[in-house]
Amino acid sequence: MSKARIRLAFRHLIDAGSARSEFEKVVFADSYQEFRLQVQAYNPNNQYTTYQQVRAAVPQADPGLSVRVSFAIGLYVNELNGQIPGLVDAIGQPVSFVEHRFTLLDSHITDRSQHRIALTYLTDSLTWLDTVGNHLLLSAIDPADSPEPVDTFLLLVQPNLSICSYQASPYLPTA
Amino acid sequence: MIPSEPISRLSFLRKAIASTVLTPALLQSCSSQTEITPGGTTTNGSTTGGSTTGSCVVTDTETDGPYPLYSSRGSALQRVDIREGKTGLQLDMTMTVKNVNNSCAVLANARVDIWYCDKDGYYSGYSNSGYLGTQNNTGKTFLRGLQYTDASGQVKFTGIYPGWYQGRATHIHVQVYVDNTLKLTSQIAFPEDINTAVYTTDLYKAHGQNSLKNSGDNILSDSLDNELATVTANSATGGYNLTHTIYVKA
Repeated sequence: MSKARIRLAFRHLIDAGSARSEFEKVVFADSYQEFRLQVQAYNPNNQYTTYQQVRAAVPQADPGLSVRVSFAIGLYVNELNGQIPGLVDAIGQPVSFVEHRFTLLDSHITDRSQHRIALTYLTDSLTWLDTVGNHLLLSAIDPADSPEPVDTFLLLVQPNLSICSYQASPYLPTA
Repeated sequence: MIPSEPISRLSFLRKAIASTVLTPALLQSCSSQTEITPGGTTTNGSTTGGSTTGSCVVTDTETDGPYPLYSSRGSALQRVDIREGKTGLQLDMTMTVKNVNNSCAVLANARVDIWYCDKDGYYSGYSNSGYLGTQNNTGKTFLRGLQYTDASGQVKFTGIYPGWYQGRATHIHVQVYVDNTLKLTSQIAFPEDINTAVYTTDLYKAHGQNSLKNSGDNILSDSLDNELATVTANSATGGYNLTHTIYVKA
């Protein structure tokens, strides 16, 4: 019955114009502040002004700067309690994530309006049971492993949502 | 002369970058530029619905320029205990920052960042290769910490005695920021006799001794007079205490 085990990735872009929730505001503000600190190691004498310039001149700034800046917002991500902000299922229930990735997209050492980052939230492994219209029918537990009915949810295929891992059911380990 | 941190770790970072190919590749399919509309948001104390008009802009709560109130409050690294379950001999560190421009007086409220590898030579935060193969430590933060110096110019961390990786003597990376300006990127070295003793203990002996000593390390060898830490056994923990003074011009 089940098609596959998959993992979903949901990308959350935050910039000066889109930072509206408290989470987005603190992530924007603190990641920008941390960028200004951490970029100095790669940009002595402030010879570059943008992240793109630093990355082009100092290759190890990517992913070095993203990694270093990401630590500055780690507690805010923890406070999400594993729920992806801005993503709900067809009846408004939150979708859980188990990992996140932080990516610095653009920034500028003095112009915060150019600061843009992305958080990518990764779900745990889910069973993709079916596709209903433009919704994915998903369950955390594979029904094949359970004699009882399992909980399912419907999730709209939408921008910034991707399937980033796929294991076809013939290759799934048997219970 | 101490090479700046990115250059000193160039080789390591090249490996790290090379070995992170898998993760970006995994995510490339998720790279649509379309922005999401956040769900229920709170603006100026009032909760708005699940959709917004798109006309809202972020409220500037801090001026551009220095951010004196910034205290790394969201940082996953601002903590004393940086072990995160990593095994190894306990290492209790006390670092003191002093100001060369102020008669070597202790410097309060300086931000000290440290990071180093685990007992097997692997860093958190990156996918990196070592004697046990490649470990993807993306998203992990073990053995990284930051603290602001107290009135005595001191920060304290509790970690484990570092391991080693090919091409480098045992070391801890350190950076010091004062008033949001990077004042120093440096490294801290360990006494060879203690390295040797530690690397014979149960948790470390699988990796064995590091054949590269401080004297042969091209980053540490010319600067041991100011980068070699004082390390003493701690009978209470069964591990070691490290004390070190860092001098900056602030």
